[in-house]
Amino acid sequence: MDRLFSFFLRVVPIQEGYAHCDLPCGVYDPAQARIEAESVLMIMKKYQEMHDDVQKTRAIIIKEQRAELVKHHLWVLWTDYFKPEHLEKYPHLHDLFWRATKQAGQTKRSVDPADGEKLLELIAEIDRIFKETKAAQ
Amino acid sequence: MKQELGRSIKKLLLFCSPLYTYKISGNSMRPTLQTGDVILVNRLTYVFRKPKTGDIVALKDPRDGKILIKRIAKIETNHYFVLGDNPDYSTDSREFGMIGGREIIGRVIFNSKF
Repeated sequence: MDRLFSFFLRVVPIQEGYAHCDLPCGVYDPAQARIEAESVLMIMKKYQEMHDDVQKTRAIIIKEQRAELVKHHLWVLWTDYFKPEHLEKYPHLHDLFWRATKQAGQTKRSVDPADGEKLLELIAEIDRIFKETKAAQ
Repeated sequence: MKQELGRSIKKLLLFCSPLYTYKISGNSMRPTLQTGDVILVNRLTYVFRKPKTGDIVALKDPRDGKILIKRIAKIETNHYFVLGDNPDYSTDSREFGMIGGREIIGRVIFNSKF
């Protein structure tokens, strides 16, 4: 066997084989996205009653940041937590995440609370699926 | 020109060879395999039989195609749950899910330190 091994070492190029660790923390929860989305909605509602331009500008900036955090948390769930077998059981999962992250983008452009509420509805649907997958583990 | 020819020969050898050699990088298979170990992988093993629980295999990471070395821990209708022997320091099916048979390159049959 040693001879065969030595022969192949000479003839066939050695490749890299990874026995590695990405150091995943393994902690996932749609609550992170939901809390940021609730902030977005609350800012939208308060914005309707604001009259001071400086306050309105601050509200828009903070809403922009929170909506970006919603996108980030959704992407982490989408790419790191959910797996191909989840997609088999929930075939609309990709579409759901796509719509949710698009809606997070929409809340950046809008100050209409209806857009914030729609975002929360989509996150609630993701949360429902997340909890079902957790229960099945 | 010489470099291109060298690359082509390397590709041809890899395409034709029933055995692959891999140099281990990482600690997820400790104590069985360690960084720097050179292993031999038989690409034909699973032409003649199906993978078994306990086999150490070379596989393609379903996320980015990198070559991983893991052990088959569970089998469910042609889908394989793979784990590192050092589970506290391993990225495996707990992270990227079960893999299909097509992702498996072959079985590890020899380690320079076995």
